[in-house]
Amino acid sequence: MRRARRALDGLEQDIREHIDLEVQENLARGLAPAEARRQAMRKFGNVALVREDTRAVWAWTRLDQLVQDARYGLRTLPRSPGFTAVAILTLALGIGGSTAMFSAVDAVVLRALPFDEHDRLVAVGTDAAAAAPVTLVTLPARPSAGLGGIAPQDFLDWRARQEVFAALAAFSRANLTFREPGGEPEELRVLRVSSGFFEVLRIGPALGRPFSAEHEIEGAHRVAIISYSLWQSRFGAAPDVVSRTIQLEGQAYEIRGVAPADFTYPITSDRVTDVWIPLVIPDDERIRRPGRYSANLQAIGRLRDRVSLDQAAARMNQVARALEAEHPEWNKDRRIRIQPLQEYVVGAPTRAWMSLLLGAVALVLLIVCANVANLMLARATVRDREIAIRMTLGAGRWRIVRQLLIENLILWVTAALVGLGLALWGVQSLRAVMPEGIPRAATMTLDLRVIAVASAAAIGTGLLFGLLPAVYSSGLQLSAALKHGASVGKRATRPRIRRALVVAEIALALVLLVGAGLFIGSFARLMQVDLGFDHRGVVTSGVMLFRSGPSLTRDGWSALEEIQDRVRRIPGVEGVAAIAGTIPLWTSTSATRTSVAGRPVTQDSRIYISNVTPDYHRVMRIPLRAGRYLEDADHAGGTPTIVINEAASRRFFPGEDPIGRSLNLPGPRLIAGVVGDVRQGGFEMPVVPAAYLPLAQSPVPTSARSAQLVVRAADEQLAIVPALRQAVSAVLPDEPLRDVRRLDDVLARLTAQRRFSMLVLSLFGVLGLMVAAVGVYGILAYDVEQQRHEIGIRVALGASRTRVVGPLVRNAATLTALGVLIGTTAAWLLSSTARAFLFQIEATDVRIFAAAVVVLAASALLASLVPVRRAATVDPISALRQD
Amino acid sequence: MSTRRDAGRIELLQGTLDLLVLRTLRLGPAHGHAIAKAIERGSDDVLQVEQGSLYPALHRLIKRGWISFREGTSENNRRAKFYYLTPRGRRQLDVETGRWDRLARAIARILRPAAQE
Repeated sequence: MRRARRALDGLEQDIREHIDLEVQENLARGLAPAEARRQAMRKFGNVALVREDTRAVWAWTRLDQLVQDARYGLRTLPRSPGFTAVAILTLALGIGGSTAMFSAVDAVVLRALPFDEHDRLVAVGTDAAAAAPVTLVTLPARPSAGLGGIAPQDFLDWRARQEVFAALAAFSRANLTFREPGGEPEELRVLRVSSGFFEVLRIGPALGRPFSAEHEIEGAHRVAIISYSLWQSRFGAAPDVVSRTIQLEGQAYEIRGVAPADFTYPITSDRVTDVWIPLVIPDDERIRRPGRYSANLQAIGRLRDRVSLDQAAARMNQVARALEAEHPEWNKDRRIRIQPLQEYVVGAPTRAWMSLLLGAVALVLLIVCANVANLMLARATVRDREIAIRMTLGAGRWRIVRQLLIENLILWVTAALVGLGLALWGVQSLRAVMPEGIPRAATMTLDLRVIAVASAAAIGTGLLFGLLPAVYSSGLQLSAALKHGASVGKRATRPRIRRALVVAEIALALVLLVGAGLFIGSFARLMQVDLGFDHRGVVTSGVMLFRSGPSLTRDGWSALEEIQDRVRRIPGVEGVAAIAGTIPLWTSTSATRTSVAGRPVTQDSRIYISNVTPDYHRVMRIPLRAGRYLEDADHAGGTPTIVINEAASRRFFPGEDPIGRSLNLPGPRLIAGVVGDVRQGGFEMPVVPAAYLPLAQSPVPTSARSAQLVVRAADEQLAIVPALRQAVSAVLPDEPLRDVRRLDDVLARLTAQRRFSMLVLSLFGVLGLMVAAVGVYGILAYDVEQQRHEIGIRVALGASRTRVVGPLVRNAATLTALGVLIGTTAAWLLSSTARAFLFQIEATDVRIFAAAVVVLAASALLASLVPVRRAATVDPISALRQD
Repeated sequence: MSTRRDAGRIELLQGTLDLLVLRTLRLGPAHGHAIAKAIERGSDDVLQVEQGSLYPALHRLIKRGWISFREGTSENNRRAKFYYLTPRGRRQLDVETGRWDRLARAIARILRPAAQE
């Protein structure tokens, strides 16, 4: 490069000198000065060409020429700051937005599970569609895409009889009390796992050893593997932590190992697992007792090599059928389902939802690309003259195309860089506002893969959209372009393409707006649903009351009463009650079959039971419809009494008064009152028949040995939590407060996904709208600019301003109308894809479509105001004077 | 997009021009105009080089390292580049000249076949 510079330095001078010498010679030969120079010039040849050819000698790599082109581009771009700024900004927004969203989708849906040979991992469960048998059914806490829970009895048989898995393991979740010596009791997330668990995942502990089969036996089961973060936070990363103990539920567990950093299972965005302990299946859960079916386990497995999922499912179902033959009542109709673990973890609804968001952001990107292509085409026309001159001077068509391409690439690369910066910010924001419960959302980052994809997309589209104007620009009619008033040499094709682009932008923007509208409407409908109780101002917290035995002991009950008394006295508390079993908005439910006394059991006789203290309905503000609330009088010795909801009343006593009648639960219970319906599980769940039993009178189901305190406080509910903790520890010093929550937060979490979709789609809708409006503005402004001369003439000849403006307005209106038409059709056709996400709203709701059209038309109108005004105020004199 | 060439002029191939330049410089350093003149005169004006095409040729030779240049003063007392052969260029000249001779003889044999054997 240095040599080149040195050689080329002074080239101008050399050439001039050369020609002068020749001139001198000619003069010496006797030619007249003018002729001398003319002949000398002719002999020399085309100076400019010589210059270029000489320079071309040194452009010995493509790269060097590219650098030259790039430098040229860097000089010309800042000369039109408006164009450059708008182009870079809109491009950056489009690229940044789509990159951020792609990061999210990648982290949640696409990225492989971080396990060895992850495609061999599967989730195993019962086919949830199959009927669940008799009395007490405990449904799993997570609605998991058709994979039902597994009973321990079944799991043991499956494990013994299977041949298709290299390893099969079951697990169940638990929250156990942990207490450091001298410390406060607190709650840890624990996973009870069978011995093959770590083998399935092929995870070895970072320290220590994994569990073995012997640990599944009662008595030898008090070992634990703690999580890496627990080791660091509670044991100070002590290297001798193995063989120390950890106190869980008052019992000492020997620490056998430490899990690797970054390992957690189950994979969700909730709290991570702190401790793994062996799953012990007690003897009575190994026998199939009639009426005692509890599907409280989940299972994962690693398929043997060369065994396909379908093969495994077929073989396992053979086992299932064999079991059904052996235990016809207990295993009736029970089938096994196997799902790839990745699918199971992500979940089909989440996958679909993320695809929707990705689709929306792709639309935004398309609009942005169309807009920028439009801008570039417009700009290319402006530069026709410059290009024509260059071609006259001998630049090849390919050279010009290449230079324009490079210029556009610079634009796109700059925009991509800015966009990546935006994406970084976007990913951080997304991580913060992503609704809870989306698995792996916390791991989303802007990693190399995503950056590579985004850059490739940006550069690819840059090349594509840069090619368009470049090719057109170089296909010029030289003479036409060089003539004065370049507007005369209009080519018919280019305005058409630009108009088509604007129409496309408008159509896409409309689709986005319709989408946003549908989601906003959905959310509004959702918020209108009556939950049946007043969740504002309510805090709930769990307290474990009964250590052993299934029934409410005297001690347990009196402890609860005392706790309630103490809490009632806390300043700011308006009311307190307790419930065992279910609480509204919790996903766990407990159902049983019931019948009206004296009538046979009907087909649909499920009823959901809750065990509550008398104040419960008052604290939750559930309205009373008939009869009375539960009272203190309904205690252990009194008549078994219940209160049912309206749905139960409708189901079991249609058209009759249920007060005074009885339901078997089992054993007859007197109905004392009817309360309003409550939506168990949130806005979207149906109303189900429910019955409320007084805690004092009911046996508590084994799975719920704790009660939830329900506290209504005046305001700033979490401020009373320390007082709550005190009240509880005064009565039960060894018990921590578990799961302290505000119902408002729980509700927010349930609606988080919908709210998030609504916000994101609205954002995209607004963005798309703005960009489309800029597109409309751009094309009109360009037209005005091109036609200034004409307009000037017409105004000078006496045309009124309105007549002059007419064609412009018509143009804008036509474009908008076309765009709206196409957009509406597209939205109509696409509406079916959105149906699954909407709530009580038709995907083709006319009002929403109409609203979107109005908004779009208004924006287009606004966008056209400025150019139209400019056209109307063209000063004919200056317009005519202009070139 | 170049100016028309005279029908009478013999068009020189790129490589040939390079060879001529090298040969001219064998006699000593010279600036661009002098080289052009030398070629014209040396060929009795048969070879009318479009003088502009000299410069790309010179730069090609510089790039290859066969010639180099230094600043000097021309007859007009102005700064000009004086080109000279490098040792490598000198060797290359011999190689190229030999090649040219062989080519010329071969073509001559075809054009004017010797008496048939």
